[in-house]
Amino acid sequence: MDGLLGLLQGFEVVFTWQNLLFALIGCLTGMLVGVLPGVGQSAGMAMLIPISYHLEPSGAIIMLASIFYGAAYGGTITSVLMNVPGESESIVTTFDGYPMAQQGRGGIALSISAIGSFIGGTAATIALALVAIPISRLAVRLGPPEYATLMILGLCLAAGLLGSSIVKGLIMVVFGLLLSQIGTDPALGIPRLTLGQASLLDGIPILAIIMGFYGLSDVLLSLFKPAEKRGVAAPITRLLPRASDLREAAGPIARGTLVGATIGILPGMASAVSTFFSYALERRVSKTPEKFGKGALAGVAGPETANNAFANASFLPLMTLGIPGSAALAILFGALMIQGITPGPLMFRDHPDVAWGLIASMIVGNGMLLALSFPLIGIWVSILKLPSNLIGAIIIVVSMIGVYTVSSNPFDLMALTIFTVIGAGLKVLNFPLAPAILAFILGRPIESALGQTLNIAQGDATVFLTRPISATFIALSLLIIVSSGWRLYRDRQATR
Amino acid sequence: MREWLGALGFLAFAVGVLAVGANLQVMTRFGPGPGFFLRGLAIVLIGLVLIHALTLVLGRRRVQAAEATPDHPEAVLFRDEDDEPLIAPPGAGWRFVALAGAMMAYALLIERLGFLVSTTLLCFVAMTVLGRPWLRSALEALVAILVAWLVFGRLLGVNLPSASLPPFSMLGL
Repeated sequence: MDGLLGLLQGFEVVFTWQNLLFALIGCLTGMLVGVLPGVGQSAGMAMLIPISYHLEPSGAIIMLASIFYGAAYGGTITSVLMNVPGESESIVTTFDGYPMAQQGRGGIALSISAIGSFIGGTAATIALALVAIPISRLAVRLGPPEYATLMILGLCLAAGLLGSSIVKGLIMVVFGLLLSQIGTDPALGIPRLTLGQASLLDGIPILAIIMGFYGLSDVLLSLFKPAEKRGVAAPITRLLPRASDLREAAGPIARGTLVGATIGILPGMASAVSTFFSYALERRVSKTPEKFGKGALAGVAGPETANNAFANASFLPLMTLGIPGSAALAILFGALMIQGITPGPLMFRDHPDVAWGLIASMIVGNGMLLALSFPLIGIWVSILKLPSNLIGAIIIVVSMIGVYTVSSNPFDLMALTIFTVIGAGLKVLNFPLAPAILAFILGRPIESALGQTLNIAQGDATVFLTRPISATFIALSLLIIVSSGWRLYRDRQATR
Repeated sequence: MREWLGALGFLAFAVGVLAVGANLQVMTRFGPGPGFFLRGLAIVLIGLVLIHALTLVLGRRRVQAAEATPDHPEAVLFRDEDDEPLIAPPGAGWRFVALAGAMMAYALLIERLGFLVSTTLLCFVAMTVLGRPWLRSALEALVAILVAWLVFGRLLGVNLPSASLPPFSMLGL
């Protein structure tokens, strides 16, 4: 009941012309960055944080969140029409989306994706609204040991779930945690690793890391990549699905919603996990599994629905526990912090307008995406022809100006340049950046919770093992590390 | 070779953290001190780097993850964030340095040359280094700075820096 009332309050916040405009700008920007070569969801959000800084909190967060789920749909367009997945989660869409486009059914694939995304996203958002308050109330009761171990579990999931090396993922987690240590010690006020720089007393500017790692490093690395040769987009003959298409897609959309929403609420999960599970599930339950990979509608409808359901559901750990599940949500976490809002269980009490406005805006935004996706497909396809060097230069200039306008401190620009080069280097060396960003964001809260726990327990670290919930989280963390390591070892043995 | 470079880089970083943070107290009478987590994390990082190095020594060289296909969709989960192959076209290294240098120069010059001059220069250099013809870059840089000034200066009301260095300051830039 609280959730429904909150949702109504949220609609009140959203249905102002300013916030509707911000949602629209966010959706359009999200679709644009999803379509554009070399620009992803995270980079798009990172670039708009400085602009959002100058807006009032609810409008700013609504705009950034719209980019988050708008980009998911933008990536579908290139996956289906050109066989170019923008992000990992879109790869499975190419399996059947592109063959459908080659058969002249690309429009159907896109429209079913849009409908599935709308249904999946809306259902996940309603579920989010209904469970957010009870989970927040539970989260408030968690003590520092439980919080610390829960955040560590989230980091282990981020490090171990994706990528080709669990050790590299863990190295990046510790690297991110160490970066978060730079600045003034929260308990005693003593400077740590500041190298005598007064600008570092507040820590490394969050925007410098986010934009350096996710916006600019890719532009610099583009110098070392072959010019992207994009084929001609497959023509779209028919856009609106037939009744038989809708019937065929109904089951996959329902299952995709369940898969995406379930995986989305787990902290540290990646969207690619939801699309993979949805694809595997559809193939398993299908009466014609041999059609998968050759243009099966279920192979597009399920994963695309799961992708958007995941995106909306993944706000739950962020908003109720203060744990961002992905790099993009870590960026949103940073944007909230910049606005003076701490994501977590108290967000619904202290900033109900932002919390409920954000949730309600997801329903409105998903509706906008559904409405925009049909008439704008031609425009998105033509935008694909923009030269990547022009886009790269725009990203550099917008990012540099943006970072400066937030703090008016040239030091932040220096930090941005340094982290751009570090980010590029780490990408060349195949170290995943997402775990480092998550760890950087969670570093101070983890330190604070661990410190409080050890203080309360008078230095006795066994308290983490004697409390059942924290012991469970620790066991799960170890299980993830061991199972990921074993999975990768087995995979390597198999490929030898 | 690349893998070793990464391992050595992180090892140097961890050792640097230990060295710079050596004077920070590990424990105080109130509980963990400012050096507690710092030192603990640096030691964990060294341990992880050693495990990484061990896997390299034992010949567990990086195996290219299999490509995701409809029959092998789980390969999506083993994909690295950025697994596109890198090449080194002539001059790519220099252009990388020039681009990073232009960004650093922008940081150092924005308050001396002012927003308009420094941003126009950054935009022009970035476009040229990224491979656009210089004349077109110059024209596009002028358009870009106009749009940026309108969006940030006028629409968002941001106080953009003016030049402090003559003659730019005398020109009111």
